Amino acid sequence: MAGYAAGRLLQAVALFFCITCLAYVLLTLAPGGPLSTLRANADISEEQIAKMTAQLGLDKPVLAQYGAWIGKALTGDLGTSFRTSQPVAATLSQRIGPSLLLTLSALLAAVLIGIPLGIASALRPGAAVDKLATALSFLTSSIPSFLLSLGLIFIFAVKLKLLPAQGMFYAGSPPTPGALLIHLFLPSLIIAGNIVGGIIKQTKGSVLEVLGEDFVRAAVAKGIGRRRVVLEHVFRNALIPVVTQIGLLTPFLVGGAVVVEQIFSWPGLGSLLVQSIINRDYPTVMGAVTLITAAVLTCNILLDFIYMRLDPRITLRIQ
Amino acid sequence: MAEALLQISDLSISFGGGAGELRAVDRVSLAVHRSEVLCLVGESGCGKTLTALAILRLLPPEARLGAESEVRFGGRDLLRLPERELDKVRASDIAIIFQDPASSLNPTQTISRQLTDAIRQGQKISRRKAQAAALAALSEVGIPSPELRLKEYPHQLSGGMKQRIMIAMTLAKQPSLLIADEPTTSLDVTVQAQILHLLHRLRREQGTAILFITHDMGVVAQMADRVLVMYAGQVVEHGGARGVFHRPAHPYTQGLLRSVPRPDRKYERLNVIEGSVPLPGQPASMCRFAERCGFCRPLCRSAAPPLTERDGAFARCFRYTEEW
Repeated sequence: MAGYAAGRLLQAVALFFCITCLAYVLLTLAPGGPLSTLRANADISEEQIAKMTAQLGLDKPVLAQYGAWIGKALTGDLGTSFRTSQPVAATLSQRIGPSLLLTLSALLAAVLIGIPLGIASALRPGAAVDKLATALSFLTSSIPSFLLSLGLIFIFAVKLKLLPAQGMFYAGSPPTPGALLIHLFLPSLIIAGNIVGGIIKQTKGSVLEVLGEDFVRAAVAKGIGRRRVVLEHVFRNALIPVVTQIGLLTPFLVGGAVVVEQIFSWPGLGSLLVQSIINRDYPTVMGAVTLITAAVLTCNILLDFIYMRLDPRITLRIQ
Repeated sequence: MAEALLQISDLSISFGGGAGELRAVDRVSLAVHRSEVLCLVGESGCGKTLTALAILRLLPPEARLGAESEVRFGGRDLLRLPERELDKVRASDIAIIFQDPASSLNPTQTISRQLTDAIRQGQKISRRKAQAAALAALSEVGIPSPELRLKEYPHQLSGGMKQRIMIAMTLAKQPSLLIADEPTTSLDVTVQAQILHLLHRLRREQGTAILFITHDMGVVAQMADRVLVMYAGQVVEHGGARGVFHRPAHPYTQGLLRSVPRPDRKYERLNVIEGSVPLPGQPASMCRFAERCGFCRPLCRSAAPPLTERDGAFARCFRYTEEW
């Protein structure tokens, strides 16, 4: 168990280096650069720009730049923003809370909607619940979240004026939990939409499969009643593949958050990331990528352990 | 004869509707009396397992019961009992064990949990008392170090051990009827003998009646008081075990018995019943065994034979009728 955890951690660290390196290379491949806006300014001479380029280390080869960044990052120094000259770590620490709040509530919503709907549609194939679930999973999987965001903002914020269209709190009034919940509603549901279809389909499929198992028939034969058969025998066994599915869907959760945060001006990592990419603010982009990567990797390791708790047949061993 | 413990009458089970309807079980009637072992014999697909599952309404959802089907137990028709009432019967009166013990236990629950759940369903006792009963039941079925086994999960046990645990569940419940659906088919021969021995003891000590389903004539010889032979969804012969073994009436039963290897007769070619089972959709107006039968006459192809009495036993064959 401890050996497994250590092994997984080692894998995660290796993966982490690969992802950050790739991100850095891709970032430098993007047209323009951190100083391209300065070039447009007639008051700034080529000499000054060359001096700044050398100062920021941008004249070195890409891998050397990455090496310098990761070397510092490992000591805990994520550098300062090219744009604001603020320490990146400080900016990230302000942004991580809202992002976690948004993605976790999206995950919660997706699980709370997807799993019950999946179970209900498996128990009554062809019934209204089943049709609703199928429709929901089709719609949410086929409408891109930026379009859904704009549509829902138009309906609920512009036309009905029921829900706010941006931010975490009402501007100019004190931050209250109630205001936070109202602001969370639309963006978290839209992000949940990215993964709820997958959860519904997986839950329905695995419940149907478990319902056909011999031990379910044996449980019915014990006379414990349909409700207990479903809750104690079907549910837990059907949950195992659903957990895997959720693990595979976490990147979509994060990816969805990036888009949705931007649209709803949610002060999280996603919107920071988008703005920093537009500004070619390398240290801030890398800082955000670092955090998101670490979060997804941690999430996957945690799921492995949940998996083991759910299924006693699984013993975790590193390959 | 006293009223039977379990009386199945005209049980029909079909799949699919309209022209594609397949009748897998066709008007099967049988009775199990108190403390007796009735063996239901037949080859794969003859409908014996479906018959067993129908008793406790465990059929797959796509199976349809014939309108005249009836399963009477304790004066009630189980097929028409409300689910809640049926659950009481399932919990304490009729137990069932399945062919594959490995898949009959929930892989995510400990043995203890599954045993005590079964026990507490039959009798309302505390978890601790149920735990003690579970322990007693495990030692009863000869499981070594039962305290350890209770804490384990099904995948940690062997096949024979799992089947014993299934039987232990039954023991603790003390049902009046046990349905055993090929309980030894997936087990080693030595383990088979132990399981059969256990079932014998169950009948002797608790007076449990057993409906034993098998295709193994050797097992029938060891277990049965009475035998009922099914072929292509129908009962083709039933009678006392001794009679069926010594003077099988139906050509199919005769063929079955001839195809059992006899170690005392060496160098003899094993008999096979030529041909194969007819598809369930074939015309009802002929003997279903006709194509494979050595005695077949034109009569057998023109009408379906009735179950006919012969020396206190019954066979579905024209040879015992006036028309022959």
